[in-house]
Amino acid sequence: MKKFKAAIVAFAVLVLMPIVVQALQTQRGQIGVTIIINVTPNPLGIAAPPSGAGAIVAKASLRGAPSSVSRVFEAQQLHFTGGASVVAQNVQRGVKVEASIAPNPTATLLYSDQNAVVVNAEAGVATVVPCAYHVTVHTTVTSWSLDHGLSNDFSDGSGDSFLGGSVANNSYVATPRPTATPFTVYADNGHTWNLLQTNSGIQTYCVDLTVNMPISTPQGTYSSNAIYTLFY
Amino acid sequence: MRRHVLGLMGMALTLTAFVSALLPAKAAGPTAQTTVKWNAQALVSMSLTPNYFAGFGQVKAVFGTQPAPTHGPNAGPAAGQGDIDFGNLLSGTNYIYKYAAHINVSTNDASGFKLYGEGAANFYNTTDSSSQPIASTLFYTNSTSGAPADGNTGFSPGLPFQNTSGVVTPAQPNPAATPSINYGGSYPSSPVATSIASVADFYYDYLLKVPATATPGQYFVWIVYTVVPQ
Repeated sequence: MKKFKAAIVAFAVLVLMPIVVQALQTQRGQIGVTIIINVTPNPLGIAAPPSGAGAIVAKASLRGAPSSVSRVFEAQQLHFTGGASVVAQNVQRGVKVEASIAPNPTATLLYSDQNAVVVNAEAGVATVVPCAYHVTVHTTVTSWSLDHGLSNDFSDGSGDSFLGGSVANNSYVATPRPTATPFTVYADNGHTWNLLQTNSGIQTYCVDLTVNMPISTPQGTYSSNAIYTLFY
Repeated sequence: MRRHVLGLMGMALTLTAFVSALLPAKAAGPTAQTTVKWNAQALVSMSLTPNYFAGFGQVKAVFGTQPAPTHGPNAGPAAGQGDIDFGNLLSGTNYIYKYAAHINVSTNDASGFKLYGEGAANFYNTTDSSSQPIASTLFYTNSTSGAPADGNTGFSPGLPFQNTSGVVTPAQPNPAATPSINYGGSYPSSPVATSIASVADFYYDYLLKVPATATPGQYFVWIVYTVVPQ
């Protein structure tokens, strides 16, 4: 019985230790990589014309106008009253955007080689982008944790969206994992991130993206942010 | 004299009657309905108001409790004034600028209009003449008029501004004069917004994702909005 209790305690320690350790760790850095997906509609449902279809000929005739009748209409003295209108083909306005940028003393601790990545994908068809971006942890600390996830579901800004889980990642240092894992979405996941890996020292992760959004996704440009948070 | 004038008038009337008698009577020809159609070129007006609501300004991208907005010296000082000046930022960090731009468009085109928004250039560093690609640096996202309050954060989904392929006048970089873009009738493939109404308002926040590789300095870019009737 004593042995059984000890085994239970040991098991609990093993299970809870990473959680406790992470809870005791402090957030050292957080970055975002914007994922932009240009969605083209799936062609399913568009009926192609039969192979033997001929050219379309458009014919038109004046109804009720006997061919024997030949008339010449002459518009005389047409006057369009009112003052001349100054019309514009288009109108432009501009605004200046400014910023004063200084070096970030901690920017080398956690960084990506891409601010934003663009993926062109067809709705309902899986699209894989190998090493869409890299994420580097640059520290001599011997034990750190890297969490990741999406900030939001993908949105096009006009009301259309699809679940962030439609995008999967395969994040690895040297060898790709057997399968890609769908991103968890911070906003839908109880405001928590997923652990990517506990590791040590300087490490660079290659992130393969697999995009597989629903076939019903309307055409448009969608975006979300892949967030990486470093703890130790 | 009076008799002379009257005589001339009489001669004129006689001559008119004579000529009329010689002309053939106008035939009572067939009549038909004539439909005249013409195209009216659309009238468009647009207003752009930067920093359009109290509480405008830059907020660092964080989750949870949001810091108070701040801004650079060229924004404001009051709502509706100045540039969109993010102020002091750190490289490798994301920011949002709340209540950045309000655009009001009205047109007589019943089909509505398309609104395009592009950068006149990339994000240019006046300190060392380097630049950052605007398409991976500056983004926009829908905001509110101020009521209800804007709930966006620096991690809200946004879409990138593109560096225009149109002809920019004056040539960039030029921080002194608002530029115009000549598209030559060939507009960008993706408008910022499309409206089927003839009058509409648009409210935008801007997102600045400062690359870790951005060199220190004072950056700027002009964002030019263009309205084209549909």
